[in-house]
Amino acid sequence: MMTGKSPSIEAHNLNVGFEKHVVLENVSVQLVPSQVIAIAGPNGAGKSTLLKTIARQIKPISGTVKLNNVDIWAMPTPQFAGKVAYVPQDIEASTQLSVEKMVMLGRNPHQKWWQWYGNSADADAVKKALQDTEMESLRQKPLCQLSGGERQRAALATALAQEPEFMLLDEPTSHLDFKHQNELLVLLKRLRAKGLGIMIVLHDLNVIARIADQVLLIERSDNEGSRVAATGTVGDALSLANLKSVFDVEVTSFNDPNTGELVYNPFSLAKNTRVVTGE
Amino acid sequence: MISISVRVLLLLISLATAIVVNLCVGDVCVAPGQAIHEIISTDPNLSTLHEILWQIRLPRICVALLVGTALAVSGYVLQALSRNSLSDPYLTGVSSGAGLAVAIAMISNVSFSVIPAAAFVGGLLASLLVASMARGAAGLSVGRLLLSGVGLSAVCSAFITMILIHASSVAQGQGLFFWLAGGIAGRTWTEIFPAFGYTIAGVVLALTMSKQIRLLSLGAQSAQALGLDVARAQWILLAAAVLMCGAAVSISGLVGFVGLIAPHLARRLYGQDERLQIICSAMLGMTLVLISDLAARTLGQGQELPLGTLLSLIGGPFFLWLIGSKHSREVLQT
Repeated sequence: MMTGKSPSIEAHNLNVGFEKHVVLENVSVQLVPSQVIAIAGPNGAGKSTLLKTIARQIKPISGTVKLNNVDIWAMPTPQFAGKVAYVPQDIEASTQLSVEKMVMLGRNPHQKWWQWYGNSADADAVKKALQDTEMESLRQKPLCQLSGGERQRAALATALAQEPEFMLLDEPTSHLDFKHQNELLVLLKRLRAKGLGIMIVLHDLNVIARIADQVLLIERSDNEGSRVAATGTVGDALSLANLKSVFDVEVTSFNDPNTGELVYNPFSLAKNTRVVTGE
Repeated sequence: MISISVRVLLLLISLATAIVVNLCVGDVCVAPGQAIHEIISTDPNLSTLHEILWQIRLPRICVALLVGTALAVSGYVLQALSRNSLSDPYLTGVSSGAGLAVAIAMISNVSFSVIPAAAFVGGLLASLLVASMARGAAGLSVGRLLLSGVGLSAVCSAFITMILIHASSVAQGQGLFFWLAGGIAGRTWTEIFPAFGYTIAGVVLALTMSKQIRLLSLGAQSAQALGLDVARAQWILLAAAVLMCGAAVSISGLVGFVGLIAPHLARRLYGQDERLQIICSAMLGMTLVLISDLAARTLGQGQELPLGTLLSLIGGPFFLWLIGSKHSREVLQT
């Protein structure tokens, strides 16, 4: 366990819901610097809801989220955003704002509320964020003209410009092609090495296996709120038995002969899928 | 491709031309040089022309500038708040709420200086009601916002009609009727000042909050993630919009569509800087009201046409065109 003085973002006994519907029950998780925690689980299990609750977007029914031992709802919004960056699943597409101007908004938590122009430190942070996400060539392009993947990278650049201690990412690879998925993984590993704590919602078990230090596997329940089914390293939390129990799918796995990395195969057609033939 | 600075220059020239034409053209036409000479004249024996310019045309131009600014910037802020280009004070029911409050104030024979405050309270109540009706899990729903605005406007119009029918005197009823049709004729300097204060306050608030407007353009979720206190920013901006709309309604009655057309064109023509968009939106609003007012008093052949009616003739088709545009079809799905 971390001591109270170490930097951390810690959710304790969270119960989250909307009106009378409870989505998540009794979820606890702690993220520390230089750590990547992946949140996995089936559709509708409340993965994004958990991330939003930790990102101070949703108030829990009960339980607490503490950043460096301070309740996140007790701190001003800019102070929280200066330490924790959150990239939502859907990025606003209709605005004419250019990529560079959007990324500059990432500096907002470090600026005065009336400050319109960024100083040289802001400009440096924006430049570096654009470089890291390979968005330099698109910096003048309006957001409404970007593809889904480019928009996702612009949002990631904005989060990088925040220069946070912790980063919360909701399915950041969903619109990315293989090349950019790979580059994102390399970037996240580099950020982790620099001390950033990252919590990330992911569907792809193989992406999780390549990036996560810890996995929080959430199990969906139709009658009650979702709960944590397993937590631990990739091998422990995403054991084949746990995957079968949570996803109701037979998953196979093997070690890559070249790299030795764990590879999952959830597409064993003969076992898992009824193929409907005919017209 | 014309650069943004040239476009701003063209807009400034258009606005200056509209001011000069409004000053010189009317029942009595006067050359621009003579008009300026008469205005700055310190001759103790004042001419009729001096009186016409100082007591009729200049106040009227000032009201047009004020109303154009107030409605355009109010529309800009409402469009930024709801993140769609179909919002304006008229369509979202804010004008109607302010209108009903002014109608009540007018038949209560209160001092004219109180009327902008009444318009502000009426507009605020209307905007709160519409915003609460349109609020969904994912923020404001555009479709519900417009439908609630239409519904509330209908209710307010019905109450205004009842007030009109039960006006205590013919003069009072007639005054209220002309005010409802929307117009800026016959306003005096003393009537302008309260509305002037409200408009300046609203424009300054909007300009000060321009970074917050930019943050809100990314959606409430991203704005909050970037450190914006979203609820507080929305409240301040709503107050600014209602303040300006209240000022406009108190002085010109129900004038629609300026708040729809001007901000829409400003965002299209004047780049990404919200402060420039706000300023150009105000200048476009001023020019639009000046041109419409000129048409209202020169095309009617002896009788003035109501300004609100004329603007609806321009704004209605613009609104229909906007609804048919691709972007609007997308936002109306929400």
